[in-house]
Amino acid sequence: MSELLVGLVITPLISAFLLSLTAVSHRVPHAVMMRIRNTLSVAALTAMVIQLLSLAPSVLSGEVLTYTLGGWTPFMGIALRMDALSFMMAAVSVTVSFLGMIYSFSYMEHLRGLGKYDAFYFLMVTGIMGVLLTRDIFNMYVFFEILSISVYILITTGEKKENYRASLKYLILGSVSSAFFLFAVGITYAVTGSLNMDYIAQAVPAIMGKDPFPVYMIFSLFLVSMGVKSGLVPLHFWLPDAHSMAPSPVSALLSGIVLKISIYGLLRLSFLFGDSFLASDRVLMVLGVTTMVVGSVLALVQKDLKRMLAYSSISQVGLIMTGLGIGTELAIQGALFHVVNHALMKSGLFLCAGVIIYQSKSREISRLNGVSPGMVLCFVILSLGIIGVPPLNGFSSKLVILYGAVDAQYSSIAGIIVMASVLSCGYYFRVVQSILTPQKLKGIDRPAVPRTMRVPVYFLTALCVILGLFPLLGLSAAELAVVVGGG
Amino acid sequence: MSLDLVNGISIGVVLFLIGMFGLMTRKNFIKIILCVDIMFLGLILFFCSLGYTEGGTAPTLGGYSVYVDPLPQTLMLTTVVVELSVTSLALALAMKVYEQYKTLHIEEVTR
Repeated sequence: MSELLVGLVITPLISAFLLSLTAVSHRVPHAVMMRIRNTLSVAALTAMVIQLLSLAPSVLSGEVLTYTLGGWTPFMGIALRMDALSFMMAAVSVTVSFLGMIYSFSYMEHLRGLGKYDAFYFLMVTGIMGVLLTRDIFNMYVFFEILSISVYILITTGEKKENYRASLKYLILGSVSSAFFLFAVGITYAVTGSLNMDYIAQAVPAIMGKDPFPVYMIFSLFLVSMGVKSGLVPLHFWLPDAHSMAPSPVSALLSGIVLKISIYGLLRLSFLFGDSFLASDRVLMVLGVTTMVVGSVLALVQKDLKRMLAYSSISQVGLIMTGLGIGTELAIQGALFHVVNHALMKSGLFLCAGVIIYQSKSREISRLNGVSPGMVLCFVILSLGIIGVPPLNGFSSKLVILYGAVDAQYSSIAGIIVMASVLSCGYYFRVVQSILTPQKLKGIDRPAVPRTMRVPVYFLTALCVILGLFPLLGLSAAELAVVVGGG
Repeated sequence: MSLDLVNGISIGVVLFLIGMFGLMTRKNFIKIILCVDIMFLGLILFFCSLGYTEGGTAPTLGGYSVYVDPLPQTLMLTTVVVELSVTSLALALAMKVYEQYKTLHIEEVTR
């Protein structure tokens, strides 16, 4: 059973290699090559879904699967481990990357550049699965680098001219973040003598008793590193550029999954230092609240649709970090549930924004019109979900975080969360108003939306509504993740 | 300053900090990329010195009593490869940025 964990990392890696072979110049007609690529990508992602489904029963019953690579002892070798927390994140990542791939069949048709896009898309999925499954912190660094390098390249595949600049900016900040991560790994190895998370967690209490300074240093380096990657506020300035310049399916994955992977990394690494490390000194909570407020206020003044969505992501990451920073079990559950919900909602919104921009041929919020009714409905539902209106999934996770905040005697934080939701009404309703304003210019034919672009958006909207109507599905998974995933 | 303060670990950390200082003060993209390089070089030196033991040899088959820890060095082989690919990608992107803006000055590009 646990051999499947290797399969989850290897499958996208092999398909990335095979897809890169289709990038070599060849005599095969374009249409045939296109069909080969599409079949290969769908087959690889379907294989990953099947592997996840066959792992599901044992993981969801609370079991922890471990596999040691090459049979080396975990002290020296690399172990892969899947518990409820990583299973939850992996399930969401595979779902969203599947839908993003289907969406890009027609969206990226003219931009795909001889299989480059597909190959790096799958390398990115490899990085995501690797970070989620590994138990070795140096291995985590390597997978983070695979993830980041493929993201830098994917950003440049878009049609905007500024994307090279955005990618370079992200690359420099991402490398600094990786350098901090590596520094923390080095100090960890020096003080604990191991790179395996289980051994580190065992060694930490003794070091804390003797001299807590190295542990604080390691934790703050990890916090800064993951903070850069997830866009915490003083370190967020690369994010709007990168997320808005990338092509829409890549933006959806960046905002929906890649940000959440760094939040997962922070959570996973902070478990090493004992349960209460996240909540100590309230650093993370203060950072989270600042991020939430600054992200919301900056989103209000944006003119570009995708930039506004990127700032909204910053604000939502702030909400998740606040939930983690409060540190009670209830608040962490709410935050994890919100990670899932935001991944589905924001990737849906970015894919939807891609269709809206494709149809109205403009990125400016004030000039959006002529959008087909189905897309308008999806956009309204998804934005209501982000705002947190009752029958949708954003409401239930926000409610749990609010409840956790009040429960831990932070009523003022709860007030700020509600205020940020009101602000998000402001920026989402502006877009909805602009879309619904009757079209002034008649007689311009609007391009029809291909089916492969419509279906993923409908699917994500349906998932959001289902999770909103039955919030216990997600909440019980988050509860299991907190109970089993800790340590 | 006593002599035992000057070792691989401290020089590595100092190199890391020099790289970070350059990153904050330089305005040219090429120089910034080189500063990131310097940060990573400092880290590589730092890691390799972690495993060093006075008078140790490489832990090959038999015939030694004191040996150096080989694990950090193997890790650094991976880091060198990763860092090489990051730098080459960064320089390629810098070329593309120069083609578009005809300058590499960070404030003129981001304006």
